[in-house]
Amino acid sequence: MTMMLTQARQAAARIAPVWPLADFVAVNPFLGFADMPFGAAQALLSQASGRPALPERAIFAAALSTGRISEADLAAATAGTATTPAALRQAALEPRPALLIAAQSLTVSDVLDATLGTDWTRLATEEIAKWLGAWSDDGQASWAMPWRGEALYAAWRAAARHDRTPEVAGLAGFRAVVTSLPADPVASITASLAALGITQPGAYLHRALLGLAGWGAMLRQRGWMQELDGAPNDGVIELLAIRLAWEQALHAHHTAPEFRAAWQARLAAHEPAATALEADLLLLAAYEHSYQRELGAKLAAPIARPPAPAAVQAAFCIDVRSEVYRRALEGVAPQAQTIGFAGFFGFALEYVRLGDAKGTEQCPVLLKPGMVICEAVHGAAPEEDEVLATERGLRRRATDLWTSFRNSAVSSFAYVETAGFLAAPALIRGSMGRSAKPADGLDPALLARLAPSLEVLPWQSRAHGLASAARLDAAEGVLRALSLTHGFAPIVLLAGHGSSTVNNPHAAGLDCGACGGHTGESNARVAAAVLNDPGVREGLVARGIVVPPATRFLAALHDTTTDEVTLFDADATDPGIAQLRIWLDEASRRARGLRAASLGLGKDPHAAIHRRSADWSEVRPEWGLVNNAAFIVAPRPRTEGLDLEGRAFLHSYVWQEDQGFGVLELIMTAPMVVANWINLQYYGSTVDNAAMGSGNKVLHNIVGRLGVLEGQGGDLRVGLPMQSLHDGTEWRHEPMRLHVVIEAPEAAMEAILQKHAGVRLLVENGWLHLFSLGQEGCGMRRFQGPGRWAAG
Amino acid sequence: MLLSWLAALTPALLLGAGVIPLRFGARILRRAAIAAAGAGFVAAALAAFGLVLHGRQSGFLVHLDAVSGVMFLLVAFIGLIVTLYSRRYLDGDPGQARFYRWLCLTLAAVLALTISGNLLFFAAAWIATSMGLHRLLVFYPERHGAQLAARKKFLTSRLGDAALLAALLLILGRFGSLEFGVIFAATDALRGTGDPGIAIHLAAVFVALAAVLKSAQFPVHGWLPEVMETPTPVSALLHAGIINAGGFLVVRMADLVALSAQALDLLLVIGAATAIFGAAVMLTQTSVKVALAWSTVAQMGFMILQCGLGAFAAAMLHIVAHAMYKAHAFLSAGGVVALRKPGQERPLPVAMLIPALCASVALVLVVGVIFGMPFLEKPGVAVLGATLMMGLTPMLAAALMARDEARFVALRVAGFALGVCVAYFALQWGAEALFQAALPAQTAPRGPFALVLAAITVLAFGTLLVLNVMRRSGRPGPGLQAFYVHLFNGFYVNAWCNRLVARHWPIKRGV
Repeated sequence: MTMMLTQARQAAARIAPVWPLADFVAVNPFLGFADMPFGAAQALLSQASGRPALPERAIFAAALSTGRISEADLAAATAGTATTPAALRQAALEPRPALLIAAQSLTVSDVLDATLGTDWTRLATEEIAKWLGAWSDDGQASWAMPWRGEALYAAWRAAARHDRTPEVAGLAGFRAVVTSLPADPVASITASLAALGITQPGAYLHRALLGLAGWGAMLRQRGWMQELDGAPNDGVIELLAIRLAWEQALHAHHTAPEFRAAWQARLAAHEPAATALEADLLLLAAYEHSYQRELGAKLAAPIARPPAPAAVQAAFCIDVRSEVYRRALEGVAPQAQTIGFAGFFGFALEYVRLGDAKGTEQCPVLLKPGMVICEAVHGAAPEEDEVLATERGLRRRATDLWTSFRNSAVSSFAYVETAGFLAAPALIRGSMGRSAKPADGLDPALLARLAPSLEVLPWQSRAHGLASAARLDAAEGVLRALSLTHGFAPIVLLAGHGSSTVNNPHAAGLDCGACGGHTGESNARVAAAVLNDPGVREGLVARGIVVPPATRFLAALHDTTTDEVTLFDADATDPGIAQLRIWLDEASRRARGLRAASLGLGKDPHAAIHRRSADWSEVRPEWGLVNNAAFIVAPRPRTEGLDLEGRAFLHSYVWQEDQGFGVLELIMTAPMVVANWINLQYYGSTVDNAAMGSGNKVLHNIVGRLGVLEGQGGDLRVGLPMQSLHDGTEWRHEPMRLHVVIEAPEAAMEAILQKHAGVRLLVENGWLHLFSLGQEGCGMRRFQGPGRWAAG
Repeated sequence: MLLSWLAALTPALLLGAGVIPLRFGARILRRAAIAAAGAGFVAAALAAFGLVLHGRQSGFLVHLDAVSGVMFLLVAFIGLIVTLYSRRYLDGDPGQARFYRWLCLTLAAVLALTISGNLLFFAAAWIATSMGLHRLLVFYPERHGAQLAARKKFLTSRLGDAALLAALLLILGRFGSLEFGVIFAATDALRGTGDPGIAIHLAAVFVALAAVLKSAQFPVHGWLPEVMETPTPVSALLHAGIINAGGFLVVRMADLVALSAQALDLLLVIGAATAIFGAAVMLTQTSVKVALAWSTVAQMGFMILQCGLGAFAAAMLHIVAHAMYKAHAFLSAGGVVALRKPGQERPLPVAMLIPALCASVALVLVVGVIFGMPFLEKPGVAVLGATLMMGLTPMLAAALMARDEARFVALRVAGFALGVCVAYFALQWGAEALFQAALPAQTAPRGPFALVLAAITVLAFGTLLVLNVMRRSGRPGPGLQAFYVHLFNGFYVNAWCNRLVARHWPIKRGV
């Protein structure tokens, strides 16, 4: 039983979580494989599914034919192996040999479909997925599943005891099997395995979950908070119990001799032979090497200009989309210095909007919010806030009743006959790209006045706000992490980011991942407010950071779709701010120009880009983080003036100022891991979109307000849609692992790897490439193992 | 005559865009489609305007009156919206050229159907619509779900074609003509002269059957909730512009159908069953598009029920309003996550429901009488009025529950209820006035049987109301729980159909 539980947990751990659409952040689809080398993980995947997560060879062949992969890259990749560059070049031109699914992982439905020509794998998936959708529904169905509050397996058992669909589909006795199963999911798995005669279930359990990996991902996310606390997260095991119940019922029902014989043969199968993926792995390495060459050459260039005294220091998120805007801003305004930092600016907060009881978690999903910040109306007395919040609640209640009138059984007919016509103007507005945003119970005039409040609002029932001591600690933390402790400019801009798209289920995926898949303005505004607090400034002096009284911190939001930048709480009459406004607008124009070609737009892309952001039929509003390939941790002068093509996450860091390498440790354990998650999400979605991406956007169907289906049912889809990666003609993402380049002493990095096993596994198992960047004029050296760093 | 040619221009333009060879590429086909849909809509709007000025045009080719004019303009409008939407939505899709071709051809067929002046053209356009739609439904032929649903639809459609052709032959045999103008004149002459004869009854019943088969009525509804395997604009077009062709057929042939009480009874029973079944299943669905599709099943049932009650003008109104609503709902279905999640619906105690029911009865009667609704003379009006009352009841009960500081909610919801009532009767009155000339003045005398059916229909809607209230109550009992499971599965009708298709028309694996 305990061994059983271990194996079930191991299979469950292979499923990476997926966040609900409202907080859709990038997740590393190989999260459950990080403890094994990249190549071994691909072999394992290949035995379970027949499909390793490696780029199709056509990508390599094309890169070879254009010279993107050079002879030197092939030589570098094959060095120390038995393969020759010529053989590798040849391999790229041949299709990848068909890979067999290991017999030991085959399910009953696999064997049935193969021997009897049935369609049980698809049917079982659809039937289970149907109940997962009902159980996890977050407010779509008016009549929710009665057992929604119970654990998944119990809820499913209760429903399946009434559900006649499997029997109608030809699986007689299904309900009897369900009734006979133990009520405990682990006991049920044990019983099912015994009935099937499977004694070595590891590979089998993994494969059994693969067809429902999307719903499994949803379950893993539901237990994520527990997991962060170190508790077991057994949601996926409940799903496994359901899948195995189907297996048992299918096995019991089918007595055809050819099936039984095939099943016996499968049980008797031996360990599979090792999967041969070497050529593909080497081709990937050569492909990556071509990028390393290019990046190394760029970074080895001498620094373009000496740092001048700045009029503005502008911090942007490390997001690759910021790189383009930062380059544009620096080009427009030589007096502007830019900084790269995680877009939540170190403020992990839960942001509660006016009138709401619960807020959104505005921090990376690897963290838990450390504070609750409430929204208030700027310049309003607390009593006024309370009145407005109550009013909003009442208006929302009335709107809800109208919604209920639309969606309920009898009233929906009257709704259509009376309010149906109201959709006609909405159709016209939509076609003109003017979809209206609902006011959600507030006067539009008030929306502009909403702002996060650090104070304790007497009418809020939860503990919230930020006390003075906490403000000081947070302020010191963020300044040190920004490597910004002296030489302050008169204006320090803190720019979060967000996207602006409409009618886009995956909109949150384009927002700031460091803010938990939300737009980052509230974090930036909180950070700016804290850093402008006179009490905080005073306290900082005592801690050795003197911020000149004339320096102001200013919050902003960079719209990554339109490249517009909005300033918050800024006095437009102030000459410094007025100048900044002009620079920002000019930089926006320039950044749109830089992105125009990738969007297929001509010389005057501005109107078209704005249209995209408001067009309800647009499936490619922006390219998101497509083509990301590097994470560079260095002072900005090291990368300034370089065209990094929007492919690099840029984190500012001056190691000479980092006493004890505490900041480096933070960077390597948090932003680096997040960048790795994003990179592998794009990688996985590109190399196997069917398993790790979400398929075709035009078929997306939102289920339970939490995820998308492709079409009418089946497994929940995870990852990125095809339209976010492919323009219809070619891939826009080059699938390669992240190149982390850090300007810091190699020993310091190794010490951090030693201290954090999770990070060390990522590096040593080849889930990312780690490089050190030497002094100016020096190139990159690649980490190859403890104490071994090599150039080239 | 000029007006007829102007109207015929719309389908002709789309047909022209649809026959451009695919080798010209997606760009050309896309531009041609948008130009054709745009110009077609302008032509349709001009034709509708001309219709208002000059009145009915009836010829062998084109029959343009209030009924066909409204439907024509509706389809041209939805067609234009869908064509514009697809421009960006399908950008980069390798099949975009093919998509535009079949979109144009399907639209041309539906448009031709709405204005055709005789049954032969009508039947040809009817079949062409179905064939074009089939190509759009299997736009991604590799999708198993698309194939399965398309096959089910194919089978029901062919049955529907057979019913329509049977009706056509009977009509030709009886009246010697297929021209609508001639048929309507002949049926008018028959009205009020006693039993019109078996041929007329049979023709009317076949028309009713064709409509039922075309508009996804119970129990042949199964394909509709499953056609989410094709791009969203196809769903919008199907649910707003094509699925109501069945209803349009009945309204178009209302002069004939109204002669047969049997045909009307058939429509009444099937429509009511579909409406109640679809609306109940809709409540339990967990994905946006599937819930919308079940809503269409219900709404089409309600529209067929209205036809069965002889309320043809109301049915037309329903078709148009539903088309707007559903097209928008599908095209904006990607935005639900951005909307605030509604709060939990509160349980409705009986103590609140009874006064709420009384209040809604009073409200509907008062507003209805002000608009001069003949509740007593026409049972149909009474039945539809009763559904309105029942629809308003939960909302009014919730308003009654909002006390003290929430009086704002009560007042606002009372305002909603009053607004709904006024809008409802004003629109009904308007539809009656608009379509009066194009519809039969009276239907065949309905015996006590129809009254019983009407009473059962009201009771059935009452049961649906009770179910809708019970699902909101905290924890349902075991019986209701089991009922939920059956409802969630649409009473397994679809599972049976799938098994039949799998047995007799198996889909090859990997297709």
